[in-house]
Amino acid sequence: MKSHDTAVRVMLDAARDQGAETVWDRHAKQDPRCGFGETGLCCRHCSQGPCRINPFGEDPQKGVCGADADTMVARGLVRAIAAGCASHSGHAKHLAHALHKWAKGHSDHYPVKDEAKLKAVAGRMGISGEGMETRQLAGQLADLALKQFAEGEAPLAWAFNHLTAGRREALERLGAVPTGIENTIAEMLHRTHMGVDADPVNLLIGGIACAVADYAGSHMATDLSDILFGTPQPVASRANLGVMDAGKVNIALHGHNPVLSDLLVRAALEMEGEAGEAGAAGINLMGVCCTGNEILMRHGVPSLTHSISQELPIFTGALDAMVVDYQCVYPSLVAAASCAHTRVITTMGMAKISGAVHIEFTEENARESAQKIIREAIGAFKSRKGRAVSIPEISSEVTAGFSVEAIVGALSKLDPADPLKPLIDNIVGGNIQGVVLVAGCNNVKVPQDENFLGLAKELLARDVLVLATGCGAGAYARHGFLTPGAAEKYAGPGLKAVLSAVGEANGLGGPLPPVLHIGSCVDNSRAVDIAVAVANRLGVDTDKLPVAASAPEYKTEKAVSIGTYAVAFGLPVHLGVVPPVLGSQTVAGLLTAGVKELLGGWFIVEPDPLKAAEAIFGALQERRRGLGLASRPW
Amino acid sequence: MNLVIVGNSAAGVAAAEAARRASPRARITVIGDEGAQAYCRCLIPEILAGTADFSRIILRSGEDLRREGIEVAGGRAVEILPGPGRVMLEDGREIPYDRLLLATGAAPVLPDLPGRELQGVMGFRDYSDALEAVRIAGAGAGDAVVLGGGLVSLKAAHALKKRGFARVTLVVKSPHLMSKQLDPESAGLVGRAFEGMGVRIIFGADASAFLPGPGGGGVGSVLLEDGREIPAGLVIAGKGVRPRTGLAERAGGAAGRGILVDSCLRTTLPGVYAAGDCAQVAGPGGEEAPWGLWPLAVEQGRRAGLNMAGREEPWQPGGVAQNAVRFGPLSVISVGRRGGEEVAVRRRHPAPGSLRKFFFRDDRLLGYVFVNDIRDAGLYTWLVRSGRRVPGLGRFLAGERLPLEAMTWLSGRDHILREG
Amino acid sequence: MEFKEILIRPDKCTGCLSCRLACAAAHSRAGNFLGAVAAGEKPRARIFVHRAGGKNLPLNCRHCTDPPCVDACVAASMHTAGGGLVTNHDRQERCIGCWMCVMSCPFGAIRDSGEEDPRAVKCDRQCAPGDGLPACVRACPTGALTYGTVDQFSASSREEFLRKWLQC
Ligand SMILES: Cc1cc2nc3c(=O)[nH]c(=O)nc-3n(C[C@H](O)[C@H](O)[C@H](O)COP(=O)(O)OP(=O)(O)OC[C@H]3O[C@@H](n4cnc5c(N)ncnc54)[C@H](O)[C@@H]3O)c2cc1C
Ligand code: SF4
Repeated sequence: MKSHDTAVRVMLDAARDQGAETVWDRHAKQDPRCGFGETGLCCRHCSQGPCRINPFGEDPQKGVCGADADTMVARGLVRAIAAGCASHSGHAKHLAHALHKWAKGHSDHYPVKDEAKLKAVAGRMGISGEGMETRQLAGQLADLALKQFAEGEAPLAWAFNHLTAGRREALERLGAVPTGIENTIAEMLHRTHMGVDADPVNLLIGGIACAVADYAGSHMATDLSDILFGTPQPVASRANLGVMDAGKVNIALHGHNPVLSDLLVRAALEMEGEAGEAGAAGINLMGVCCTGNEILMRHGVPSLTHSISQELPIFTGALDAMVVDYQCVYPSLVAAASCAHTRVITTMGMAKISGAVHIEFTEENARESAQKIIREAIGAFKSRKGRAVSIPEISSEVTAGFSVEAIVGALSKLDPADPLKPLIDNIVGGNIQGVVLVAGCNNVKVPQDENFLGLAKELLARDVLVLATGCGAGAYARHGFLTPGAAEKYAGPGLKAVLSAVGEANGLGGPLPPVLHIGSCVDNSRAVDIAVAVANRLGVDTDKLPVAASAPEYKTEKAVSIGTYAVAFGLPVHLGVVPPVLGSQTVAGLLTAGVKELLGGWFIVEPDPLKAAEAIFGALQERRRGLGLASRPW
Repeated sequence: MNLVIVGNSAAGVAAAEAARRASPRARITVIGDEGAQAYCRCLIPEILAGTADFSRIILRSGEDLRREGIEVAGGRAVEILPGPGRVMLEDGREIPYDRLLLATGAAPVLPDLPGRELQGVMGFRDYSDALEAVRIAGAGAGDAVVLGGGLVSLKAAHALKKRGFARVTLVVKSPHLMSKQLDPESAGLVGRAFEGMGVRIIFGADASAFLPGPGGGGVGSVLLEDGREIPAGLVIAGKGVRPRTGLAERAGGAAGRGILVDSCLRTTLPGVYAAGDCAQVAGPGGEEAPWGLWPLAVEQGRRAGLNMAGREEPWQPGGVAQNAVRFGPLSVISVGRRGGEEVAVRRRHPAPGSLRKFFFRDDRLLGYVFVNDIRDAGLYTWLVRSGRRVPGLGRFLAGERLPLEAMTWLSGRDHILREG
Repeated sequence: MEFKEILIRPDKCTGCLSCRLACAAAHSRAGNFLGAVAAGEKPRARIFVHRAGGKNLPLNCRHCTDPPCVDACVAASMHTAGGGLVTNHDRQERCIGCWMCVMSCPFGAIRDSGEEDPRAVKCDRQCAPGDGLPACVRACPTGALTYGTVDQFSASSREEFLRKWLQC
């Protein structure tokens, strides 16, 4: 089975009929995989290599330079973390520039939308803002944000200001304290160069510091997006391929950054008329991957599909444009579109795909290029006339938009004076056994969504509240888990009671969804914020909470980095795909056990979703016992 | 066709089975004086050590051979009559043949010294020898002396140690062990390993007499030429073997050190072949025979069996001295000759004390000795056996890189590539 | 039934060693690669990739018709089993690890098992579940290893090909 998503399966048949290649075909062609790479025992860090180490103890046991399995695996892993950190923080920096340019008057496309959030973030970052004008405050915050990228003298504030005191101490004890984002990334590249750091433990500590820097970048991305484009509030929409509309100009927005997509949402509204002139019933924007999450959370723009199924909308024949910024964008989109009328439009100078239409997008020319992009799509729509279109009529209802502010807002209907209290009371009382953040991508090695679905069903039935981000949230969206009905269907009695109470207090006429969509993958920072708030409220550190994370179908280096910061913050973190570290018993042992002694969190590697659910549940119960709360057997 | 084979061991069994394959209808009889079960002679040290019982070392049971349509006749052949084609057994039976193979092997040589008839002074060749040694061990002997530093002696000493003899002494005439197979450096590694096992080695000495023990009857000590006396309730003499040539010689067949055979393994007697430890092959490569080697006994036996069944083809001698042996963690392979130029590779990996020595002349590999690092040994064995010239051989050997030439040759054997 | 062979096309070998890992993994207790690595097993590969003169030659047991290793085995452990398979896996308990076979194999295809009480191990085809394809063949990404029967008539073309390959 390639996917649990029926719409995807329908489109796979279509792709086959069209003779088109998809990620699954390429996956099959990559088999058999190279075992050295699979276990992290292949090094290409210098041209004496590539060097391999035999995981069965036979020759060779060392790289040409003498690097052993431990060094090789550790170096590979921390380089992945550095890449993940670079991606999230590059995304954040882009937002910081947008805010900065508006504040300094270089661009008027990015005015502050959420002043309350601006003040709140500025306050957390130590800017009082008293008596300041919005633009001035925004300018100061943007300056501070940009300074986070350079080497500073103190621990990186955007991370450390958002952690418990206990966490800050634990990281300091370990020596995993970044002082700037980009210098930390650079240092990891330096340390993993041939002949630099060869101590696996030291490398891993460096990797943890880099993951903490990633957290700073992620948090900044969330904060600045909310300030610029609004803090999400619950919103209803739909998800899956059925959200396409043959009569409209169908535009998929794919990638990660709202800097582009939010502007396109605005521009599309203004250009409905132009679309009408072209014979379209309107402009139908849809999201793919985290760009999709950003505009779903803030504008209710429906989600088309996610991650490994990103090529499939093209085979409907109804997709007029696929507009991409960066990250998780398969270069194969261009080939997939080559037999269709679909325009693949790249927008970032640093992320081009040969064969795609490139429409450069900058903060200064944002509006014009947004219009240009939509015009290109309208043109494609015109050329679609007469072509066969086949859209699977499959989509699910979705309620999304659960920012921390939204969650606290909903809870405050139960206890306006102390909104966290109902949550904490229910955890203590056992109606909520714990909270699990399910994040990450799809991975073609796993039948699409299988682990997401299996994991959630098991956990929800056992009264574990699930928060979801990224393509994980996307999976739950497409499978109807983000609906009040899902609470009835999947949640255990305790959890159902809580969700219903919150729903009722908020006048929703039904329970909250049992899986709360809290945003894109940079928005994992929202989950940390909730954990930190609860921990502070209880007077414990985050490594004591019955909170865990899972990336059951992860694929990217970003996910490796996120998982690492979650471990650093004391969470048990499940991975459903085996990371390339098995080649070193030392490194694998540190990640799955040793690190627990140091930071409280650890990795649980378990491809089987049911066994994984059991392991995660066990970890939550261990935490409950640690807090003196009643625990339950599996 | 009536084919008869004297000797139910490596050469005899290989011959019988090859003849059966070549000639499904022939009547084939194997005569053996060690019982119906052919066994792995080289594994009698396992019996002595106590690490295997007889069932584990059976080569072919009488039943196995009968299933292949091969008759097994227990008994000792005492005479052959090439004229009428008849083998006379000790018990009076007469067995007629059309073709006869002598695969009678070799007998251990006991040194001609005073006291050699004492109980407990023995050779080490047959299963019965191993049983006898086990019996003596069971009777409480704690001291054993092994004469000779060759392979059989070392195997015996190693087994005695495993059997639990408290003191095992090797008395070796030459200045180092396995002098036929090893150079002094490799032999030193072997010697050290044996000393590590608790075996005492006396070099440059030989026995002059065996002295009875206090109880009379059995041996009690070994007297050395230099006057030293070493206590011994058991003495194993591993001082060489003598090919059993008697049957052939008494019938008028020619023999040198072994029964002389031509390249098709025919003796000088009509219709009579010989193979294995009892035979000496004439011609190039064969001068040094008999070899006393199991693989060559099998090869010769098989060739002789085919030839008796009517496919007269020469045995490709290419025989070289070759031995592989392992004593606990110590592995030794020695192939061919020493001499010429030498390349040695010493390593701590894959096993400590690894040593690989190659001997070559005019780009031809004469022989090699591997201690502990046995990888790819067979490739080199066949380079030695083929006598093939490999330009720049020394360089390849130093780098332990399989020479391209050798690959060509290997591939040319038609085995590697199975596709055009 | 004709004995199927692992056919080798040296010109296609990139030296990635995937066959070695797959072979070792197939002979592990876990029976799969990641499981064996995770369990810290040390199974031995029974295929080798030689490199000489800038060329790669993957090589494992050729399952000879008159196998020198069987001749050499002093313990009646190595034998030709049904269908032409040369193996000692079903008579492992007889093997004493004396290395007579290692010494005799012209292809260097036999090796020690690396255990405390080592035995000789080699390609024994105990690696082919389900589809019947040997693990090394399944693992080879370039088609340097395939599985099939020998075309008797191609022997000469084979030699021709080989000569060309080795000369260039
Ligand atoms: C302890 C030991 C360890 C060894 N280890 C190795 C080793 O590691 N590698 C190696 O290559 N070689 C080794 N050898 C040598 C190897 O065993 C011989 O080379 C091999 O057995 C020769 O086989 P064969 O068939 O020629 O003779 P044999 O094995 O000697 O068999 C001859 C058979 O014929 C029988 N026979 C003789 N005369 C008559 C008769 N008149 N009537 C009836 N039957 C008769 C004998 O009783 C015997 O059963 C070892 C030998 C010993 C003793
Ligand atoms: S850095 Fe070391 S292990 Fe990596 S390719 Fe270079 S020599 Fe090989």
